[in-house]
Amino acid sequence: MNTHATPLDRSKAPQPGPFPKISFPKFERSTLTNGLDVWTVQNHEQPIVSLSLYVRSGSESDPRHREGLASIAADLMTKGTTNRSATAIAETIDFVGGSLSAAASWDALTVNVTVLTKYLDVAIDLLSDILLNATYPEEELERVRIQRLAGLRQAKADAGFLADLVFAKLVFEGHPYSQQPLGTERSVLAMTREDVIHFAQHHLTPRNSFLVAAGDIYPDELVKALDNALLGWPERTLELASLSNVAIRGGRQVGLINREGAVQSALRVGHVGIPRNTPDFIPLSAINMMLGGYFNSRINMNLREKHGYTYGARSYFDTRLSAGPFLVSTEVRTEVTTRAIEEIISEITRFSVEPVSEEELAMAKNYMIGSFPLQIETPQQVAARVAMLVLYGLELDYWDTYREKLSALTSVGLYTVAHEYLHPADLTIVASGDVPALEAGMGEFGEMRVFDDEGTLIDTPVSI
Amino acid sequence: MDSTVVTHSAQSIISFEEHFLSNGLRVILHEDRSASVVCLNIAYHVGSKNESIQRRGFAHLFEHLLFDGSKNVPRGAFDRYITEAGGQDNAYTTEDLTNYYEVLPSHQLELALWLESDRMLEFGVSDISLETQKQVVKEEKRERYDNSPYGSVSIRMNRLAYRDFPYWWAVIGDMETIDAATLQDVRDFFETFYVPENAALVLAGDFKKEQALDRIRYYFESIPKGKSPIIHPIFDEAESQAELRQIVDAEPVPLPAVFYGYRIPAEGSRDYLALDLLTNILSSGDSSRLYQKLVYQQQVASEVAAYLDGREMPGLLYIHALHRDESGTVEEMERAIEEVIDTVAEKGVTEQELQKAKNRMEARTIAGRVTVQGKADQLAHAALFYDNPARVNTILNEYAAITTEDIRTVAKRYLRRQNRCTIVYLTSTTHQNEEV
Repeated sequence: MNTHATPLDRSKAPQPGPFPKISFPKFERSTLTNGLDVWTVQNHEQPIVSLSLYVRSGSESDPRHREGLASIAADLMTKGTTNRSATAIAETIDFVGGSLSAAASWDALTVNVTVLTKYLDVAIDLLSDILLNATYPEEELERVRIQRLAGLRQAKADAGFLADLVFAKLVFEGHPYSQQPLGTERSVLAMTREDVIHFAQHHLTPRNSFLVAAGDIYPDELVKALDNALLGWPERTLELASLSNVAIRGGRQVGLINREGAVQSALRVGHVGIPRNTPDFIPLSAINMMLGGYFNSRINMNLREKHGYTYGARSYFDTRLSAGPFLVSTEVRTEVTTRAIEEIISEITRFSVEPVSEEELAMAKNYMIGSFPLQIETPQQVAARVAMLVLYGLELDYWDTYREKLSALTSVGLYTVAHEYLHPADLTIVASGDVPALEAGMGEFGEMRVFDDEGTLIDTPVSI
Repeated sequence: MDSTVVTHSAQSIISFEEHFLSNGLRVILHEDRSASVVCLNIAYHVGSKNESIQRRGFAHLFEHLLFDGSKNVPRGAFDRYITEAGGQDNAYTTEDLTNYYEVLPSHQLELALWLESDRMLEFGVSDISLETQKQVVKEEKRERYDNSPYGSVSIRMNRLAYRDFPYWWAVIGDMETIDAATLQDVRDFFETFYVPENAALVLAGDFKKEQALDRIRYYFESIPKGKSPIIHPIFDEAESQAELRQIVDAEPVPLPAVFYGYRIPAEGSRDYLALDLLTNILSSGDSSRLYQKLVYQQQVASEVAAYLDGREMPGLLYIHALHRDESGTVEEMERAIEEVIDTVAEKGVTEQELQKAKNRMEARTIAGRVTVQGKADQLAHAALFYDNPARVNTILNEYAAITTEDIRTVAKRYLRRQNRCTIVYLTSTTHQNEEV
């Protein structure tokens, strides 16, 4: 590069160099004797390793009156085995400076253990102890219960949590997605050790699970060690629920939660979206990017940069095994709540009735294609993407063709997709804020209902 | 240095080169070609402690404005350029420094250099940007501090703990002082603090060092030095002499809570490192002392934590606990915390506990290095705070040299009741109970 030959001209942005040749890092699959699939992603840049076990049963498998079961089972898994008490487990992982956690998402229960490479044997030993010998002790359930109840009480003080809760209730009525993945006060109080053991026995098996290992590892050695360690993990009869998609509810409706004197309203505006494996996922990701997916999206530019209503606003297709929500999420100051909702509706409407400009599309595509190297920088990021392929049954070359598919998108093509999936006439609008100050303006958006902080209806529909 | 302990440290070295340009700009290069990513990180040595008392919150407001126009980059274009290149940018402001970074695919390195050099050269902020960003910052304050349970704690704690030093106000500032900012203030602040000799530039990631340095000189070396002297307020009174206590009963919170703030020495001092290990022993992980006592055994608290708010001048060590019950009393949590502290101050900690804390520190440091941005941030921080970026490679040895006696000494010296400020949050239930 001949650098000093050209005088410095600051008036124009420099031209980028050639796009780096990158490909999605290689990953391998092996199957253990017990039937468990192990996927490995090697990267030796830093001496650190993560093992993530995915059980294909998450909060969507929670029974109706046991909301929160999968997530409580996850909490309890690391709290005692036939070899170690809860404190001994904590002491073992804390001593090596590692982390051990288990949590439930909608679609999976995940156990993650991360350690420096020199402590990999400790990680494998702990993981297998938990999977083979967890005892789910009664007194630990009591501790988890107390923690969970306190957590729920704290969450209820959060305007955004309450808005999410009522939004899910209104949009997914009758479906597991309307339930609280963390449970409710009532369901948590009712939870028994038998419930948790039943869940573990009918979901936590090698064939209902897979493991993704990432970082400073060598697959052959790892697989050999895991095969030994997990040999005694029994396969059992599974009780798996089948989920159907919820239909979009016709017409607009409004849900309000009162937080007297709140200076801001937490807003959630949306409807039923799409499942993760929908063939239109990539065009919809681009659509969402332009609508509210990134800083330069229409909704953020409108609400934050043009009007100064908010610190930030975003939209999402929260994709799961079956259709999850499409929603816009933001916090705005009380006085501008109705104006902010009008702007959000108008942005969703505009997207569903007119094609985007080539310029706007180019920017979104450039962002999504260009940012791909950043999203696969660390072995943990790569591992999460591999897990997504396995969990949702996507093609194994999905990430290899991803950028080509993005770059082939056209404005006209996206318009057809947006028109099909965005439904501005059928929006559910939820505001958690100072209801006395909000009520007057909210009726114009649709049938209005008021909820308490348990998400229970406290008022009959008000008409203005 | 205790070499028997050092040999246990994993070999995670951030190799780098350091250069000073003729205008005083410090440049640090770390080449890492394992992913096609680069990070440009610029830290300016200016924070809320450099503000005038009538412009509290200005350094942070200014950080927002610096994304909103420079000589050749019109309002709104900065984020568009970065976004279109597939990159990410962000910034944060503390009491002591303001840090800006871009992470980009490696072929877009030059774009980041152009954008950052343009806004170091000459700002181009308009009235409309100033007015809009005031609104955005005020919403940020409402969202994070005013409308969030316990959100006011850092604002209250600073006011109690620092009466005369500019650490007494929060980085976010106050509604009135944010509103008071003028374009002339913006210009003055820029000309005083946003000058090459007051910054450290770190470039980390996928590039060739010689070529990258050449391009950095090309964009940055012609930026002139500042004209006004930069004054950094100095403050070294590490400890206070009497406990200050505040009861908050008019803010909606779900659970009664207690927050302690102990005054501690500046970040990076030997005592500070010992206190860092001590907070680990107190509250990191389910096997830690505070967790075991308050959450696991006595079950009075639903959450307990100890952590450092490290600063360039004496900072704070926080301990907080949330009760498990809406109607519980703060006193039982306070008693339990004090018992834990008193035991450490009198009897010290075990070798096993200290080793655990050191192992955790090692894992935390290495985990912070899996991204180029994490490595750039560690280098920039060490350059600005310690004037010594190489400290990223020796800091684990410094931690390794701390003894159980050091831990006992700092516990005794700093975790005294007279050296702390206490803020208690009551719920509406506990408040009523007290009135009865």
